[in-house]
Amino acid sequence: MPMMTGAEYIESLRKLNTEIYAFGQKIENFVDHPLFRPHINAAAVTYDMAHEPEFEDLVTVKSHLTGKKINRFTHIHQSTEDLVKKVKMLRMIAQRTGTCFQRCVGFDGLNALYSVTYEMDQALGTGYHKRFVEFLKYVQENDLMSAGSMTDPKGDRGLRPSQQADPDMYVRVVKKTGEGIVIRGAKAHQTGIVNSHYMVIMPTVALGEADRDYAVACAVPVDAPGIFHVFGRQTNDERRLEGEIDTGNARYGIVGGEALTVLEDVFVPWDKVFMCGEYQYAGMLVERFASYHRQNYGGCKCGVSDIIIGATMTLAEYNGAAKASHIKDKITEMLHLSETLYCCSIACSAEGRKTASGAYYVDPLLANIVKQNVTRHIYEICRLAHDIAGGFIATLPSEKDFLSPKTGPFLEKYFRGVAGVPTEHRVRIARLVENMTGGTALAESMHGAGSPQTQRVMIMRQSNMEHKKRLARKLAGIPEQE
Amino acid sequence: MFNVGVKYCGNCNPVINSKKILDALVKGMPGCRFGPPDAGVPALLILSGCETDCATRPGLQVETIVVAGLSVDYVSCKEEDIPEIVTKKLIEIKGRMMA
Repeated sequence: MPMMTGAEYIESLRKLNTEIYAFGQKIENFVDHPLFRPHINAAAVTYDMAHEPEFEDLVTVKSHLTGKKINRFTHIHQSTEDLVKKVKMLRMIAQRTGTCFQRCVGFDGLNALYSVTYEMDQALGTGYHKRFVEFLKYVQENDLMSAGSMTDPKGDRGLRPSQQADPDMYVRVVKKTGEGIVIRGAKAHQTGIVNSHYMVIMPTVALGEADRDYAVACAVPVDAPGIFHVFGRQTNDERRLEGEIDTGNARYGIVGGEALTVLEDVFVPWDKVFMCGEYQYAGMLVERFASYHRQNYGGCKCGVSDIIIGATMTLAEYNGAAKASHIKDKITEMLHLSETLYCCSIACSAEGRKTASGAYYVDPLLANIVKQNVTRHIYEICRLAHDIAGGFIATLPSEKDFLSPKTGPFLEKYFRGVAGVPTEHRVRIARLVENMTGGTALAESMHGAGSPQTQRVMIMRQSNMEHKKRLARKLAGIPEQE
Repeated sequence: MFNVGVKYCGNCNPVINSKKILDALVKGMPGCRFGPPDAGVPALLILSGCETDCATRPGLQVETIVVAGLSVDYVSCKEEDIPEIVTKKLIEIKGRMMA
């Protein structure tokens, strides 16, 4: 099958039997449900843009496995240029959607598994890489969307997986047969999983020998028997059920659409199992996935920030405040913060390195710097957006009040800004700023791709402190210690 | 004498001490002469300070060993193990050349 279009991707979701629950109910037709459709539309953009000539250099690439033209979201990075193009692609797509388009998580899972299965086989004599490559070819040839399923519920964070009071707090192997394995547990915060085709399961922490049963990586269809998804709530999500303007970004929504995915004794055939008991390689897999995923944030969040900055400047103009020097200064600061994120993502890509498998991996120190900055800069960008926008983004009446014959004319009159700009335009931009800069969108910047402390652990570990100390001692005239 | 060309990356922010590694190789392999990566050397040793491996290659079509940070030929290892791993690889290369 050639690369899918957005419409073909959406139709492919209808063929699945994905079991989804939201607001206490089983969702029968999630594809057309207003709670889910914006996220589906955002993911569909990753398919449509592959067919638009002006974007194809970023969104498509030649498969190193088959030589065929494929969507980059199914590609294994073959150079630092590929890593850089990934970041540019993410920024460009985010500039269109203004929100998460979800497909990078599975992309990063595929890349992490590609190099780790290779190195695991080299060291342990296992045969996972060949299996994984066959699965990868299937993903590329069918242009599938896979969800990167790493985060376990974790239970007591002070205990190892094997020490938990409830052994299901981390996904584990409960049975092995000649045909495959049976897994149980759950994966949390699963971005885009309800509108994916496969989930690519990986461990969420480095593991010890006692945690052997938890060392499992595999691919499972999201609608496999035993799997169901409970969709997470977002700030203002019910506005999607009411109208258009109050959602801010009605077509693509806010953030990615996350779910808790429950795996109740799910069978996985051996040909889709890529780690089963090799606990020594869980840490490497987690680090590679996390670093690839942290690389992304100076791409997509920068693209989202491009829209926040554009919306904030537009609102300043609609408010008649755009020429004030403090507004210009704050907008400049927003640009500086956003482009700093981009610099970090480009840097960790340009400094990427070849792995034993031939695939390329980002510089893990710089990738963690990207994400650490995102946990701060996006909050500051959003704070400045609120400052410039004014308090009315928090007090605006609903779309229905603007449509009401009684209240509408008064709202039209009293929410007007500069002459010549319709009140509705000012309200639309205000709602866009409100929804892109608060609630779930902010928390996602903090915890998506790992909470801040996980990056700080990696930053310290990767920092080459001995080298810095040696440089200092030399300049201070302290003899070199042998 | 078995000539090995050595190419460094520039060492902007190294995680390994490339010079120390080469010193250990020189000391441990008296049958090898480590020198510039000139045309005609039968083997090339790349010594990159980190895994980014920025060392430009001289374009020689010869057997090459790549040390890049804490890895040899893209397989992770400890710094103290690098001379021993490289020594084994050089002995293998030399053996193939002699065969």
